[in-house]
Amino acid sequence: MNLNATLLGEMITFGIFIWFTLRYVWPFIMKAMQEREKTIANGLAAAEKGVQELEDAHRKTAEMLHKARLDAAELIEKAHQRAADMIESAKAQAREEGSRLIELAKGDIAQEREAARHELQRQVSQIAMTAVSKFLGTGVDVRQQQAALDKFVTTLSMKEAS
Amino acid sequence: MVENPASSSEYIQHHLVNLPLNLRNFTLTPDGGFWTLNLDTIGFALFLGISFCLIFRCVAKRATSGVPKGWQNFVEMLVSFVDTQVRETFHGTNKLIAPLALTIFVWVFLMNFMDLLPVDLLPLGARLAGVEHLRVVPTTDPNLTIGMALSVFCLILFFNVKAKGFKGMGKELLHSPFPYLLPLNIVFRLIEEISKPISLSLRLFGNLYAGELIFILIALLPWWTQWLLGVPWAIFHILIVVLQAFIFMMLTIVYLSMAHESH
Repeated sequence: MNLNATLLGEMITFGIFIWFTLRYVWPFIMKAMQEREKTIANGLAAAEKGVQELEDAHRKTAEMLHKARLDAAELIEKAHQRAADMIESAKAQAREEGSRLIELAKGDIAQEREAARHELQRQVSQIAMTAVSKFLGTGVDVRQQQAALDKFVTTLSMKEAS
Repeated sequence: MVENPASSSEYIQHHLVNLPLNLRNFTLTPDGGFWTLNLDTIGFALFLGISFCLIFRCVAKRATSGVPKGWQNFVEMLVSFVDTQVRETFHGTNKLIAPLALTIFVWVFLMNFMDLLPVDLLPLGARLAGVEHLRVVPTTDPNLTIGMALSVFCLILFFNVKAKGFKGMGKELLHSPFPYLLPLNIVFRLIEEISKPISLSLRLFGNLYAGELIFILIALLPWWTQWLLGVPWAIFHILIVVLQAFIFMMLTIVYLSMAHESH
């Protein structure tokens, strides 16, 4: 084992190689690796987030669907209710209208009858007046007689009505 | 394959001699004393280290934070592996430790890996080119392992000073592990610190040197038995090659984190 100047040469060479690696190799590779690490970490985080969001979306959709179903059922229920109400009110209105028409007709009939009676009364009293004036001559106080006659006729009509 | 014992030992010897460059007169002779450069060690170490730097630099330049492909995948795997080890061992933030660990791991691995090439392949080519000696595994040269360990040792000292200051380091030197047992503490600390680069360098050197030697011994056997021993040893050696690179890296991190934290 003979030591010689090779030793010094190797020390210098070694130093130069270390410097070269330190200056021109290590930082670049480390930088690339760290950047990739970060990218991968970000990607994984994004994927995680995506999964989370998808889950949320699924849940939200389910919720919305459920709510929509409930709303629809409620609407249908309301519509049924309303339809029933409308039919009911239409029936009630029709009944009312019918009875009103009947009332009206009854009133008309009563009026007609009254008018007919008045007419009859008038005609009877006229006939009676004519008959009486013919019977007693002309010296009859028409006005006086008329009142008596009217009274008579009223009695008559009352008798007839009863 | 060599027949007689004399040429066997010659063969082994031949494989364990570096290609020398005498720095005094710049000839390829081994008589320069300390001022000799092992050209093969330096050359292969430089070639492998520069390959590592260029490949990793190319990948680093084109690194995208998108989907990684091919080489980037491979490099990122190594980088994140080293980064994990550093994070688990070294508590605190330091920009130097992780790139240092990556450099050690990949460079030492590549140099160790040369051991898996057939022992005679490159030396044969070198001989054809007129070069007498060539050792292709730089980590079987203690000059390289001790050089690296000494660099790490310097970093340990630097981190000690950086984390605790001269005052704090001196205090620690004098007062731990036993309060007020000054001389003993200093001796303990010296042994502890000096053992670090020695164990670091000799472990790597010893493992690879032994592995190489066994490959050389296997190469001495008759050709028809070589695969019987060579293949299992090579497979086992794949493990050793990676393991030793990992151990060198890991121990460096551990030593530096020890230096960074107080005793």
